[in-house]
Amino acid sequence: MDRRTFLGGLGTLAASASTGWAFAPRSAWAAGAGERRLALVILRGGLDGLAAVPVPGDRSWSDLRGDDGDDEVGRVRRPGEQAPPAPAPTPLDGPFALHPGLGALMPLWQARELAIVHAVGTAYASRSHFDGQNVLENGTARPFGAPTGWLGRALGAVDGEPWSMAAGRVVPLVLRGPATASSVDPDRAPRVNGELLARIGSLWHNDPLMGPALAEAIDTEARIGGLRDATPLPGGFDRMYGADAGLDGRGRDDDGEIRGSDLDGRRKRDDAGALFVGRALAATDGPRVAVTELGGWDTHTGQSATLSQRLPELARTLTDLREGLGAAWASTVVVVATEFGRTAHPNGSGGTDHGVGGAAFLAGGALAGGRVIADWPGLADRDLVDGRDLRPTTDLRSVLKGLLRDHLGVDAAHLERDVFPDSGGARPMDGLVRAA
Amino acid sequence: MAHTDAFVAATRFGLGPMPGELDAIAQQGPKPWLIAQLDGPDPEVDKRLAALGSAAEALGVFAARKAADDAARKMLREELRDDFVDEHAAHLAATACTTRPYRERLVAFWANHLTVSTTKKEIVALAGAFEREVIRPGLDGTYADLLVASARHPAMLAYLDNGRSVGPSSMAGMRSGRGINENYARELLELHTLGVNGGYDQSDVESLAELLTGWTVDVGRASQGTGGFVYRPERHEPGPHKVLGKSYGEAEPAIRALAAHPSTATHLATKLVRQFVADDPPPKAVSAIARAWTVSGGSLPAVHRALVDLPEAWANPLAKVRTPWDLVVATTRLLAVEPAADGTRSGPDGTAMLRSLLLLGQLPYRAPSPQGWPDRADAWVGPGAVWARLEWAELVARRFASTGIAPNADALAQAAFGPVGSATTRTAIAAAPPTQALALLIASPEFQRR
Repeated sequence: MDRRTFLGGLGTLAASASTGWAFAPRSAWAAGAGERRLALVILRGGLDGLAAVPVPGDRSWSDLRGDDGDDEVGRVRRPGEQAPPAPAPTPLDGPFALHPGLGALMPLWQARELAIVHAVGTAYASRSHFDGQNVLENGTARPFGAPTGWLGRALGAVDGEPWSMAAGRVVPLVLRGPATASSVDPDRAPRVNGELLARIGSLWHNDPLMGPALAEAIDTEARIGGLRDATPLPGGFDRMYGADAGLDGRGRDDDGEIRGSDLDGRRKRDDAGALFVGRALAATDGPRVAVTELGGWDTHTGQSATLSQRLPELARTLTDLREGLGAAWASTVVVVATEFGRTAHPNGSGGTDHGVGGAAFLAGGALAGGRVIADWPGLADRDLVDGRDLRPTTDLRSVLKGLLRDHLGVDAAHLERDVFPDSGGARPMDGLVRAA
Repeated sequence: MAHTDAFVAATRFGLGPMPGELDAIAQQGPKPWLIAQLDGPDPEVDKRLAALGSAAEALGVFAARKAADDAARKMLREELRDDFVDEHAAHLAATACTTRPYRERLVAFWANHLTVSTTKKEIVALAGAFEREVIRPGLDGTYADLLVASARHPAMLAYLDNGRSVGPSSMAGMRSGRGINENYARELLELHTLGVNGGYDQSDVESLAELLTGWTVDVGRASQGTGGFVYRPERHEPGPHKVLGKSYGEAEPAIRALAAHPSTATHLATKLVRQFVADDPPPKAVSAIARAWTVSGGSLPAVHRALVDLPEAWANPLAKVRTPWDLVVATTRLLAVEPAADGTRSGPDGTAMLRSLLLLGQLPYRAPSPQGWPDRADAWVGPGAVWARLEWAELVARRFASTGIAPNADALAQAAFGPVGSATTRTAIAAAPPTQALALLIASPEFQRR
């Protein structure tokens, strides 16, 4: 039975998840705006904004973060040890520079397709990952302020029912809401015997949790499953049971081993599945909004080495997104955000602890970029929150409101009332998006 | 109904029944069956784990590694990985075989609450020892004792960086310029005791971090019977330090005070009720457990007994979704003790269980953050995740089939969830060809839940 026939037969399973938004103002997604895409990259752990985007032009900088203005934060040297020459950060606007690990983004900067928002924060300032990520995603002013996410709520009132997806196993909070949201493994196509799948489908049909998840999963595979790389990255089922384990009905005796790389945190080339996500956004049948994430930013110790590895991965995520999007990059905006920044002073272990204000990145062909957007508060102790953390002077919600309004055409009143409730103090930021 | 209660005992509290176990539990009485498991460890489990190494021994290996050259280091790294696989395969096999599954679930719960994770490399060699040396013995005492034991164990000191934290005004601090790392202090307050809204603030985090300076890992001299812990006074930030309004000169009394704090009782009661009742813990159940906690002075056996007495835990048999760990263990318990045609029984294959957990996204001791693995359905079930569950169900069925034993899927379904199985599921399993019936059982809504 070929896939299309099989999936057609299961059409009844592909139920929509939309509920209860009949009276929300329909925003102008269709008619030209239907080509606009938005990608959100969530950095979990609290990216050190001052390391990613150092501020050597601030008079307090060298006291705070390094003698030579290099990228080594608080590296403790043994007496007499010379600092090894470190690649210098690349100057940007004004006092700002860019960590050399993000050097791959300079062409985007020069093409005005990259912007940085610095000294930015959410409404949350209490330094807990759990609560901070919850606020980053729920779009309200407090942890657990909503069971849905700002992006899910924004899409719920948009014409044409654009669907959204997340790379990964589950739908993250930010996408939960009335609109259809799916999750998908960017690396590997699932292989389940068709007949078995049909039987399971019947069994799960009335299950309120499993039924919709399966329906969404099948629908998503039909739409974008074919966009994965033909030769998937080695991993998971294929390595364990052999590439043909799903087809010949036999397990293998020489099942694969658990590798060291499964245990010691070495990362795959494309952890965020960005190439696939880009292609999915570009596809006719694909989503118009996608979320992916990168972890490992909670740099309490030895952060110089960690960031030297992680920041190039972030850069590659953005360039992979661009590559996957192809022509659609011109009508895309990417937002890179994290739950909080980190302490301005290094801690005792060559790292930084949880802070408040940090940096966010914007990218995309539709972006009016090439600048650092910041109302810079300064880095003297008296300028820091509690004498320790970068003070946020821009509310991330202002940035998100501006993008949702100008790029995706979300109704302004809807933004204030439903998408970002209790955000009166955060005025939508103008001018983020290029004139059409 | 007696048999529904046996199912709840075996599945919500336990790890899923072995064939025939539901009848035995119904005979003994579900609650007595559970309570009896609390009076001590399963000797069979202890026997299986006895040969595994200590944290101190692992630290000895680290010390040797530091001195080694690159080639030797690489070999040691591979050895560590192989050891991890063998070690955790042994743990999983023991868990699958145990006659005290409620106790094993509690081990997993507390180990998850006091998470250490191999996202930090050193933990590969220390996680198993942490469970054996801190969590398992801790089940029979107070939470305060468990918490202090965890705070002193090299796994926790390494994972949350307290081993590197140095008081800036201490002798070592002044000499080296190193300073405080507040990671552990923060998580001790936020995750291990009071909870994020439990009534502490940033100054408490900093004070606690200062108190904890000097608590560090003893690499290389572990043979002196310290278990890998050493207190280095030269790193200690001179005090006293005020935590929650009270002054302390050293860390242990502060940790005990946090364990005894009313917010801790509520915070941990909430987590326990989430594990044993529902994703959204009913307030009445949380209060009952918090009360049992407080009245008993944080005695874990008393709290574990109180959970059994919660009417809410028995009221809704399939309220929780099985995590990958739940699924793999339950499947193994159901299938791995099936007798072969010649009457022999093949024991559980811990390595296969470990691989399954890798595939399903819950490799032991690899939680992505100090919060540990989530305990809500929406963290485990989603469109991407269901494929992995289905593929795995099919693979297990195929694996079972390749052993040549024709599974009696109807009988197994009865043994697994007879009292609560739906007619739809029973019919579907009965109607499926043998190659699919077992997969259908594992994938059924009843088996995907507990």
